[in-house]
Amino acid sequence: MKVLAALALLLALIAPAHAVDPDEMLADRALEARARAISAEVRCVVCQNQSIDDSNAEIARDMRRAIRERLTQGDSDAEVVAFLRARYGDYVLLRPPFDWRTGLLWLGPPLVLALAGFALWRRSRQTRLARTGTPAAAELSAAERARLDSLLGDDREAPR
Amino acid sequence: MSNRWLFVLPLLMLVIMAGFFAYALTQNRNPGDIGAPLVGHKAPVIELAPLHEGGARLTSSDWQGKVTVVNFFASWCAPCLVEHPLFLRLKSEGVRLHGINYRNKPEEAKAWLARLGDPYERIGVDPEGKAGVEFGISGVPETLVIDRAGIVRLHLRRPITADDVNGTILPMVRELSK
Repeated sequence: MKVLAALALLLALIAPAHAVDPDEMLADRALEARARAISAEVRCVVCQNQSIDDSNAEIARDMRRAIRERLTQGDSDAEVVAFLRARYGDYVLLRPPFDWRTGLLWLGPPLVLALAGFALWRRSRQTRLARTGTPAAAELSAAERARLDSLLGDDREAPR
Repeated sequence: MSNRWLFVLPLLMLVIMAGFFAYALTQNRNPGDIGAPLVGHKAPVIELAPLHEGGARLTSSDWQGKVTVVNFFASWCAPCLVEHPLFLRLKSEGVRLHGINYRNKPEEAKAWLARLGDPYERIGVDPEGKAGVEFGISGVPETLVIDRAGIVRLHLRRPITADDVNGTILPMVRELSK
């Protein structure tokens, strides 16, 4: 029992700690949930790869506050993201937008996978054909048949 | 047929990667560069309390009608100290210069300016970094040039240098003032 209690305590301790201060949070739980969802997708501009929801940087706190202020004023989620994007560019989006500059980034991996799949498929087809014999090889011409018969016949009739 | 091509594949990948690395190393490519998305767009609307008692508030109308340089600074920021003499020079060149005191104790900012000289026409205080987010600031110092119509023309996310002043800022201010 004691072990279980200790384990539960340990689990509670390793629960992810968030950077959002209780006094930052909005009283309106729906708005707060939207703010958290937006913050999780916004990249902190002074940390290399951390969302502002996770970051303790002052600028991250300022940006979280700006998001909450705009939501309270009635902005939609898209408007809040557009506000940040107008000021910090695509840099603030942890999920890069899909456009001509990022097309290769988004399509590259599936493209390579498709190419590899195609190469594998062709290869397996070739080895399968090689193993079972191609249809063309199964059909012998009359001359070939005659030569094969004579060779086999020679062999059979060869003296011991 | 296709097997022979497979031998070229590693070499091809090496060439592509080497090409990318060469590009990344020689073209000053910086993935940490946020860029300046505000350039070409209207400067944000702000209204900041003055740093000096009895001073005027710093508002968006303070860059209407004349080309203005706006500088985010703080007394705790070492690079601000380095670039400070250049702002004194901009002032002596007759450039309209406003300061935004970013996340700074007012008495410390005032002492800093008293020691080094105050080049700013108006200084707004931004104790909580709200104006910072409005301007898309990621730290201090950052400097913007705003034209007569209130459009941001330049946004430097670093301390300005003498080269910036001579080669970019002064020519730009003159050009936009024509």
